[in-house]
Amino acid sequence: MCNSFQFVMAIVMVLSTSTAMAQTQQDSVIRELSLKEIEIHSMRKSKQPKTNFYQSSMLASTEDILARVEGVNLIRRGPIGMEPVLRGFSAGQINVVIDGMRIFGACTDKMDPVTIYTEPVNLKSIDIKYGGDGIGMGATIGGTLNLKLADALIDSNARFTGSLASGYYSAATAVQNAVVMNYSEKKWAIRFSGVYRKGGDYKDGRNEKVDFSQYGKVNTSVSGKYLLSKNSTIKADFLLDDGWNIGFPALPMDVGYAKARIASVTYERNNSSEFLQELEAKIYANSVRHAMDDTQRPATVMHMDMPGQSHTMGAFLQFRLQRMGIHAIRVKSDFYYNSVHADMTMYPKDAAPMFMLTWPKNHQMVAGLFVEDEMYLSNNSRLGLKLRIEAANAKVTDEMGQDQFSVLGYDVHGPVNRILKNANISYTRFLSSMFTVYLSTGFNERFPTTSERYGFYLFNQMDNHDYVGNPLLKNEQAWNAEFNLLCATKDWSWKLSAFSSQVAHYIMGRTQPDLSVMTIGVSGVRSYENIPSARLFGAESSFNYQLLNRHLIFNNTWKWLRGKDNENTPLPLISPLKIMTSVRFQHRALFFQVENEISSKQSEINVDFGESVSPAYTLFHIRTGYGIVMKRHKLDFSLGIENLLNKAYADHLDWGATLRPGRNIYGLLTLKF
Amino acid sequence: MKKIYAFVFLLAFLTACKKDVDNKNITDPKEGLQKISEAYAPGVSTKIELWAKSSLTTGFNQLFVALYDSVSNETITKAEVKVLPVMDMEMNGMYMSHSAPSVQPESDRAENTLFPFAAVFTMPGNTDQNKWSLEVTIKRDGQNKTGTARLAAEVGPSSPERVKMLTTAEGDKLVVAYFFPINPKIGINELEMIIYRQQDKMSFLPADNYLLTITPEMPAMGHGSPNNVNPVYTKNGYYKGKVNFTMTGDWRINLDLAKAGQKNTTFFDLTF
Repeated sequence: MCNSFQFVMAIVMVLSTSTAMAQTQQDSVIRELSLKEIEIHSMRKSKQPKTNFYQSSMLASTEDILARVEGVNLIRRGPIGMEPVLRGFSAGQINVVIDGMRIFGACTDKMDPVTIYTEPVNLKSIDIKYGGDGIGMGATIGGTLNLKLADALIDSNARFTGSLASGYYSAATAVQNAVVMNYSEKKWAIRFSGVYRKGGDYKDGRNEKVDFSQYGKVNTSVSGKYLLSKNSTIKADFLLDDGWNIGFPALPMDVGYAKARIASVTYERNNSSEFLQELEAKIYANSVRHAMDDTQRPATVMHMDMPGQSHTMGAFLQFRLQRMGIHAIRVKSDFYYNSVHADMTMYPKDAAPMFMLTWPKNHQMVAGLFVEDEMYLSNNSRLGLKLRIEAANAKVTDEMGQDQFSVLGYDVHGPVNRILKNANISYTRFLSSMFTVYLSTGFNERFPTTSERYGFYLFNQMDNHDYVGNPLLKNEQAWNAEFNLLCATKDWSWKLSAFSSQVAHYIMGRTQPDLSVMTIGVSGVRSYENIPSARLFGAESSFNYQLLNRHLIFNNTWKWLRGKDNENTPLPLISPLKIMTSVRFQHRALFFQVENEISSKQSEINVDFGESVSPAYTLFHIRTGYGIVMKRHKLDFSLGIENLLNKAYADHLDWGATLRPGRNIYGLLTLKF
Repeated sequence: MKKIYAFVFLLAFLTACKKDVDNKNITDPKEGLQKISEAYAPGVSTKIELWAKSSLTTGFNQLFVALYDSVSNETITKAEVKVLPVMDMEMNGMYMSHSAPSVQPESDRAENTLFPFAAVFTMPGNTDQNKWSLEVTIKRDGQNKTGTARLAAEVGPSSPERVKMLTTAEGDKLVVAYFFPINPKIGINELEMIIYRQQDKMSFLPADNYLLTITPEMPAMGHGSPNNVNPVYTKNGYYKGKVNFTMTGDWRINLDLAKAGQKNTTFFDLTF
């Protein structure tokens, strides 16, 4: 997390020191403004008060952390497997990458957003770039969420370090155990992390059990690093995530299993005297297997198997050129190949099994070139230019899939080839020691997703429609603009963002009266279409104040968003105003934190998508912790109560308005060594 | 259909030619076929063989006649061939007969030594009480005499039933059969139907003036499929259209036959 007081202190120092010093501090401010970076701490406690705000405990999940970030909302269909939304953009509109690696879920019903395949214990940070700022990782209109994997730490002074954590959560009678270990030699190090999570059906605020809200999950990762020379390292990462019996109370089916295998090898080299700096080359491969399961459901008309697979391979190379005049140029070229398929077999009583391809086997192949130039216009202003060009290819590769799609009147024998153009320009002005302004605008486009293009009668519980793909979809295009203001002094910082996106060819499901439904009991069939336009805009505020020699830390965030289509109808899945406040008192090894979460009523709804007005809610949470430092170890206890008042509530983005957990008392024990 | 035969023939011819050069091995025109029965046609010194792709069942059957000179045993490739399916029934000592719709060979020239024709068997006939036979009448090229032979044909039931008989409001008795030129698959399938009207017990005429509407349905789920093409009349009682299947399983093709404001319905089931 970029530190604003460091910056402020630096500004003070600017008066007496060189401008080069100021520039590095300016860099960190620009980072703070253009990138939302949430550091994750699994080994040592962060000294950053803001990190404590986002990562409420050592065992907080990736989703728990994301839910607290301004600019991020989560679409919830079950207790885990929530889909991130960046400023109103989700699914194919955003890039969700793991350490820069492209990875795609294998579930046709979005039950496995790739965020569930990582755990905070194997992450170093979660980096979020909104809108056009996120084009470094791939063409996108909504931004990029990068889950950065933690590296093994080469530190000859600390040969063997790590932590163990265990927790219990009352609402779902859930247990969580996590372990992180780092072993270091002089030239190499290896890091291991593992998490086990298991929860039963949770109790909501009415003290009723929510059926099908159980889950089980194991995640392990191994990361090794070897120092090739003073300036270069090679590292290898392997991550394995196995989920099973994951309940989705808002859907008619649960997840039988969700398995991800992620592997990469990375070479890094950085020598500030060379022409190529910060060089990073990575090759990677990952595979996701997923199967839905309806065998636990009592009211199933007929049993169905719905497995899916997604396999991705890719590589990228990035480096920065030695600074030339006012130009600091960064180049990244990347390539990936993703192949997915999913099918469905239904078993009616006394009849032959019915088999269908829900995602005919198809691939997307993308090669991209990204160039960024940061221009140091003067001591107090910078201009950033980002360009990305991408060649994308998509094709249905199996004959049955091609034949099946011909039923809808489309010929999908040939490939779809597109050139995607993304450009973004940003301007930063350091107005005074207190104020910095950051403006960013650009044109972005993205390739339609597999479901949007080739999905075949995919059931959507929310609007009770079957969805079919449309191979003729145009790219979704957006003109993005944002304004950011940062005010910072030694004790407080305030960041205000306002943003707007004008989207052309916005992709939405539209009812097709000519098509008859497939799923029993649904209201109709929708096909993805490019509607002429849509507009999203909103604002965020984040305020941090530290009082009494940092004994008392006050944090407050607001997020507000609106979305309208070309007929001025509200877009679906737009979160209402949310305000989150936390006050943390810290004295030596003891802390006590009170949090308040407010969500306003959402009446800007899309009835056609099955939305109804969501009532407002207010929640309180309390957390406390105490650490005992022993000779070589540190033992941390924490206790907390979430939803203190046992409020029965559901968020606007919770499908089916399934009530969330009621009062949840948790206790954690962490041993750090 | 003819096109397909022509194509198959051409293909056989071309490959045969090629193989001639390669290894002097001529493709057997009866490859993939099985012999159903044979008989001698008296007076024209000809042996008649009946061939089919598989054993016969109720509904549409593609059949072939092969002719041989009974003396020289040489294949006869030019002759007028007429076929009449005959069902002989015995019920409590009473004998009666009736026929079934048939599509005659199109030409007096054999296609690759075979004379293709088709018959729509309207009931099973494989017992002593119910027997199907094919009355084949031939007139060889260059001869004036005609000869007739009866070839036995065992016809089993088809499951699901591929032939339906219905009586329209005007009193017309229709025989409706469907067949796929290829095995059904997910996607677009060519659908051919054949409809004949019974004139009397022994003769059937192509019913060319019906407006057909097909509605495929999966009875287990109640859904259908989009973009089907209703079969339209071509010739010889054939109607050609397209049926789309979105998945495998049990399908029912509901069929409406409309003529002069009157509507009749039937259906065909199939599984793949």
